[in-house]
Amino acid sequence: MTSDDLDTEYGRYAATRKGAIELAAAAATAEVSRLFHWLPRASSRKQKEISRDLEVTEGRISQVLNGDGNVTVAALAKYLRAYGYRLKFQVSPADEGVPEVPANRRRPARRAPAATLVVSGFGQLAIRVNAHDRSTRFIQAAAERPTEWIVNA
Amino acid sequence: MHRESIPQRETNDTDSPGIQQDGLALAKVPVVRQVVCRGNWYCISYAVRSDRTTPAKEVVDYLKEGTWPDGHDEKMHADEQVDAYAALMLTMKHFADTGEGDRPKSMNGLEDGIFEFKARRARIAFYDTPGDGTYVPKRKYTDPDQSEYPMSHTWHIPDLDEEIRLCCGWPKKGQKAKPSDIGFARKVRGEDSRHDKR
Repeated sequence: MTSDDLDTEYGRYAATRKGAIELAAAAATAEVSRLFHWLPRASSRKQKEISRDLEVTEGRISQVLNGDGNVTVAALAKYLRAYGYRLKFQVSPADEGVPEVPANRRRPARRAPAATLVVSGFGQLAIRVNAHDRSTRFIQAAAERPTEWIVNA
Repeated sequence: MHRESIPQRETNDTDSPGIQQDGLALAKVPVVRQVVCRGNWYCISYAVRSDRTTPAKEVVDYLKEGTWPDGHDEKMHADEQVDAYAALMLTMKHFADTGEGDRPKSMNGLEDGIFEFKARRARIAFYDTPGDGTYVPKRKYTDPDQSEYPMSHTWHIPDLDEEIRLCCGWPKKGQKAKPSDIGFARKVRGEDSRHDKR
């Protein structure tokens, strides 16, 4: 927004915290409303099928699709999925200095344990070091942190 | 496009807005309209009556605070009113910027060139003018195939003149707007447009 906008009611409202928040809510529901408007037109699925899949009346479906878009997230996801679409969220910073929301950070793929404490058939304990990490550094680390060993008896 | 090509002249009252008697001289005091928003398509402002009141602004101010008595009468509670204010602001800004409403049911055409912005159960009536004291009432489209923008979610709204003036507002009471409400919007249009005549 430019400072010129402050001579308008919209500009003054959008420049306040409350206004920015209320407008964000209005924009989100408007977007859902537009989505619901196009959903039946874009999808080949008939309202009767959607009614059956969602287990609600066709009247209710019409009410939701022609409403103001202020539905629960669960309802939005269900309607989209029923019409054959999937909901994805995208969040971006609106204020200066706000960092990006971290992308969906997953744990790395599970690694096989570096070493396994095994009990042999004769009651002897032994360390089985996996092939991918037989370095001296690992042996030292394993010796220092024995509680992380996995007993595979 | 369905347009009536004859400019209408409002004759509902006989006041001469903006004329002040000062001794023997009559001076026309210019009207300054409060602007709601402006964009590439339209500039939206509050229409001003002969007595310099602005009925639409009164309604919108009430909505902003959640204190609209007419709304409360229709069980439109404070939260809904505040939501409606934000939604109206967004719709108007979107309309000013893009020439169409931001939601499929955000606007409607009533009659005789009176249109309305819609949010929750709040309705704000408006008319369009080139800003020279004239107005040409336009009609909404009733068939998308006749619209210039059939893919628009507000395909029924025709291209309007660049000045959009908010006349008045009312809470939704039924399927259709009351003729008396539309009549009042027309009256405000007549008084407002006369401020611009030279």
